[in-house]
Amino acid sequence: MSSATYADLIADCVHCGFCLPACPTYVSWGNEMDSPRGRIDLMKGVHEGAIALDDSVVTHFDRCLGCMACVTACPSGVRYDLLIEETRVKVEDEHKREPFDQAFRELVFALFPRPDRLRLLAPLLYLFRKSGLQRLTRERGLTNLLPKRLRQLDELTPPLEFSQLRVQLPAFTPARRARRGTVALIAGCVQRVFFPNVNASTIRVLAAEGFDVVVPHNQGCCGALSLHAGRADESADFARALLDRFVPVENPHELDRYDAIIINAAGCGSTLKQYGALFAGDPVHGERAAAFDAKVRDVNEFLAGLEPVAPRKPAPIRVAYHDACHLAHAQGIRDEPRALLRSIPGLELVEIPQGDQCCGSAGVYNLLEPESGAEIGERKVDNILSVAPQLLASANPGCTLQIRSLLARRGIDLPAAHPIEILDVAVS
Amino acid sequence: MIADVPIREIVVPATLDEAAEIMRARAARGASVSFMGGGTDLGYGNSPERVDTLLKTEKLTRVVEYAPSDQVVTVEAGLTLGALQKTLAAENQRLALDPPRSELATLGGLLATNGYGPLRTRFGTLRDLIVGISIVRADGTVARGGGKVVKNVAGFDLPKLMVGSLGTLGLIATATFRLHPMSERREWHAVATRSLRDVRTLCRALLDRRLEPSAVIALADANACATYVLFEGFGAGVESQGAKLREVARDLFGGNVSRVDARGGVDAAALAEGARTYGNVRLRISTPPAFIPSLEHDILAPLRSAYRECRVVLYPTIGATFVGGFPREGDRFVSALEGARAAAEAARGNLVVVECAEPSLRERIDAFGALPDSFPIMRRLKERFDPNRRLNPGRFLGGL
Amino acid sequence: MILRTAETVDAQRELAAIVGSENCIVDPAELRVYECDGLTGTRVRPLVVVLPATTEEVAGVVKIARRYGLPIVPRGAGTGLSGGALPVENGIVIGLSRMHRILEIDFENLRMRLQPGVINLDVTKAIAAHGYYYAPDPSSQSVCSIGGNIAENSGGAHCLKYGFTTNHVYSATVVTSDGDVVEIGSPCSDAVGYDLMAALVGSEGLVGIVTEAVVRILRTPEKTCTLFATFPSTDEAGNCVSGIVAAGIVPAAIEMMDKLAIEAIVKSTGVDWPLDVGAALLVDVDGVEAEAEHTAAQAVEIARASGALEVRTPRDERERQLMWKGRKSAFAAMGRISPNYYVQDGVIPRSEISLVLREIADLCAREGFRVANVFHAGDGNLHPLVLYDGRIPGQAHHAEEVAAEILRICLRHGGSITGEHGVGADKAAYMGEAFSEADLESMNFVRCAFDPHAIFNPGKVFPTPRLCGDRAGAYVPHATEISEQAGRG
Repeated sequence: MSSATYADLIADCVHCGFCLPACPTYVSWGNEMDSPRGRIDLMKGVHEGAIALDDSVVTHFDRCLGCMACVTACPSGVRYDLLIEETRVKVEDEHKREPFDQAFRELVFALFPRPDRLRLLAPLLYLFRKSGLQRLTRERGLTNLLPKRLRQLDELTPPLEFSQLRVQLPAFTPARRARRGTVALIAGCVQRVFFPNVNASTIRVLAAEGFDVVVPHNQGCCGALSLHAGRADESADFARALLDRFVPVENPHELDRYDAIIINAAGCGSTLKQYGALFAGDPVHGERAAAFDAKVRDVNEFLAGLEPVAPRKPAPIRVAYHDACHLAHAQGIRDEPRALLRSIPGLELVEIPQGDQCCGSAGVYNLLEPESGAEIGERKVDNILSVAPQLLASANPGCTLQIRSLLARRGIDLPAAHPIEILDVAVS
Repeated sequence: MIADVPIREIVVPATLDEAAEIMRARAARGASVSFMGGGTDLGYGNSPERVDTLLKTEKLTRVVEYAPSDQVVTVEAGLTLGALQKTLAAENQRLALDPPRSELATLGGLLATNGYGPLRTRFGTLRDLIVGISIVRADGTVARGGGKVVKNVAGFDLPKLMVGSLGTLGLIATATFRLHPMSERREWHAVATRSLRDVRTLCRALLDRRLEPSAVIALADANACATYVLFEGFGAGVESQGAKLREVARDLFGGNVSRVDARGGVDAAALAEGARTYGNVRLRISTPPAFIPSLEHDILAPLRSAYRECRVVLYPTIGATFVGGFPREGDRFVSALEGARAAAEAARGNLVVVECAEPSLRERIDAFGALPDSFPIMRRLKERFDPNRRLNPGRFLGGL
Repeated sequence: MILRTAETVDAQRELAAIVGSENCIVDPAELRVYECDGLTGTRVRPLVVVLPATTEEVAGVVKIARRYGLPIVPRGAGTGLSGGALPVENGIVIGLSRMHRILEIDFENLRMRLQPGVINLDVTKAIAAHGYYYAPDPSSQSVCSIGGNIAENSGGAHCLKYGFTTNHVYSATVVTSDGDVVEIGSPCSDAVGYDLMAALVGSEGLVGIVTEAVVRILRTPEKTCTLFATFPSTDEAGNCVSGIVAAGIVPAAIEMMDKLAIEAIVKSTGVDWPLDVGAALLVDVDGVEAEAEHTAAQAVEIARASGALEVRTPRDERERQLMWKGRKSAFAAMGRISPNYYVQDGVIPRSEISLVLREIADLCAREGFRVANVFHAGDGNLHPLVLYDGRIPGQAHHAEEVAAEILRICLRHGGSITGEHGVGADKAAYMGEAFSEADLESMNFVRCAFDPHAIFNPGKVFPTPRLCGDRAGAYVPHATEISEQAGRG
């Protein structure tokens, strides 16, 4: 982004403050520095050279969840999403972090965006849990000795069944009804390893709705996690690799096979839809990226746009649907998942108060800013519990991990599922 | 005399300039000044320490400016409410205020005493209707606040601050009010309630059924209690509200609701006004509305027994209760009053003596009761506007 | 006043001890974000910003401020458009954003007790499910806080029928300039003594800091009917407003938008309003069902008779909310059609709307500016938005001058320099044109009664700095005061 563009984006903010109550960190602490309006003012100050990009200023940028609730709230159309992304690149380029901070970030980004490594870690976590070691360390308070961020990493990992770890997605699944088209599925990283059933359900529902489903093998990360953390080069590398996998340079027409490219993780979806913009002007990738992102659809969005053909069995259950920020704020997808859930007879859908607030997960935010993530998450959990659901529907793996871990801390067992898993039960 | 205090001099200015001139001259000689409009509430508050000059506003009766299309009117303080309403009626408008004795009461006097009637339920008090004011300060300086537009936040709100200030901050010279259209239809209904508990239940039900009465009054005897409800507006709305009121009353009390009007022999407004002006010692008790069911036992019954004869009228949606009558001998009345005041204050309310025409009682009771903890601010306000304490000295609470 | 550094450090340390160091902002970069509120033209860096959590902490901060002779600027959500929360150099900003709890809901007496940082809309949200609401609805209601509303006497579209903040607050807990905690007003309907609430509401932070308030809540009307009508020009729309009022209707709200405003709103919110019209009205009538429906039908007739091009009613509540969202986002939406804009806030007698709008249009055309109008037509509260480009040298200043001239037009027509945004820092200079020296002196009396030390928000509202100096002549105490029967605090 050019300096002039950055300055223009900043100048769009008229300082009206409509973003303040939308911002989870402002709600937490009530200070302007941790609000979108304040952060934009800090960006302006740094950009104009009035203040330095020092630890204190960087802290306020780091504390931003990137939830984009402010983008929804802004009447002036300020592109805070672009601003914070660019600012984070600047931070990573120009600011020297504390060694421990830097090392932890490297660890997180060496792990999470890489399903292969994450999968390697998963059996270790499995053994850790099954051996009783985890219970032991928790009971003895040994985990309390771990730095907060590592403890967070430990708590967030969901209970895994060993069988889950071996689930391999079929490369091709034929439509179970009269074929309406062919779609490709992006399997995601965290989703694939921690919630493999979501992908399986997605395939089953799509097949039930009359689609052939292709899962190209050897998919890597889409780059979302890195992009949202200002690691621009890393993110671009991931994105290029994925793009090459779906739209090979040597055979760009492979894309024509697909009516849509389906993603079921909110955070990934919003980044995938940005590919065109990310590679705009790039002679090698620009055109392919634009063609690719034009076909990307969140699974909720895709299904809600279709006349359903698979009959739904009744499911008399009270479901609270949690809006993932990267669905609601980044992609404007709010009604679609609700419509899908309502298509199930007997299902009672309840609205979570302050539903437009983030759950504190925000990609890897809860790992990097565990205290703030937990404070925001506790409010989310309070709001969820206030409507007494029997099941929580969440369309983003990060949100599900976060909310379940906070519920577990309170000793509450509220099952959570991706809307597509709920739909899967109703159509199969 | 004002409250048995002899008056040394009466002046009746014919113009505002004359009034300002008089104020300047009295300031120069250090004379105290009290103000009088229609004289309907001269007994309100404590007795002034002295009345060197009584300034009567009876000649300041001009309608300064009336813009019907803007629904705003500016008048001199000596104009009576009755006379103003006649002027406004010609344009099918009104000042939405119905205090007792509106033919006599002047707007200046009503502002100074914060006079109001049952329409307060819907339209509030003068503080909700006044938009501009000019006053003559103790030293004769003329100052204005607000303006002649309904919406205005330029500067401190002097107009509202003057409401209820009892002539202790300055002479109210002119005032500007927002007006309301005259209603196409108004209907009073009598509801057969039996107790104040019923009255409260009825008010709650009116709220819950989303009815919007312009006024609710309750006439409470020791053993009986009649409630009157006023609906105003366009015909369709008034009729539907009347019908709903009948349903509500039938469901609650199984009782009748009847439309009443003066021609039919029951003039609800007149009944209420009669109760509010009854007797020579009158009190106003303010409590939160939800306290009303306890009012009879905690406050009214002991008070009734201290009056030879008394009448009680409530505006139950507001939480305002008026008691007026002829008291029994002094000691008994004073202790009943103190007991009632303590009970009202315990309910986070208050009891104010709005008229006491018995000199022997007057010197034994304070009109206002406990000083609020904001009193130091009130005292400083008085000091600023009237540093020599010459305007109605001693009349207001805490000796202001 | 310039503080010695050592003293500054001491003051900051003492403040941090009261509110906690994480709520005591002294870092210059962090202080930057508090340099202005919604009015961004002027910026002043305060010495320190504190974010107290309790009444006691506020009182503690005020006492320290007094001891060090530091002025105090209270701040709510910082959305004000007149610079009411503009800091004072070397002063303390007390931000009330952390005091955002709803303390009590009393449906029986129709009251709510709130901390000052509670967001206006959250008051209604907390009670809406029970069929109640809080009436004052400034356009910034999704952001602005009750404390700020009290300071500014905030209005909103629906104050035409229901009044302003001042008509909806019973009592307040106030920290005075001595650091005392005082209850102003009364939770019952008739407080004794002077109506200090009248002075407090709209005092723009000059008299004390509200740390709790008891507000009035209302039953949601049985029925609200909304209609949206478009007109060839603001003349016909203005006539329609007059017609509705003349028919004896008291609408809950009548909002007017002109062509440019409609364009900005459509771009910002995506409402499907036509762009080829000269003006639009958004009207709410409410009340009991039969009454609301009757008056709505009448209003539709009047709109047609006034020359409306189209009259629509929202299909459902969702569409109605979208219409109102469009209206309430209008100021900020100007960002879509102009790099910068200057929001003016003036009042004129309702009957002169068409006349004044033409004068304003002529003025702006003469000076080379586009002007958009979106305003509360029912009470003549204009909001001309002078559109300019701040990147062109001198334009910002020129636009400000044009906006000032608009205020003079309002005054010439017998109006006011502000209907709801307040005087603040922005319009203090025009107070002298609206009021005489005696008027201003009287207002200062009120301020000094509350804050004899003049430490709260100095430099605002009054055109020239005013202190609370010696009074003319000595006060003569009452006998009971001397004998200490009556309190002299």
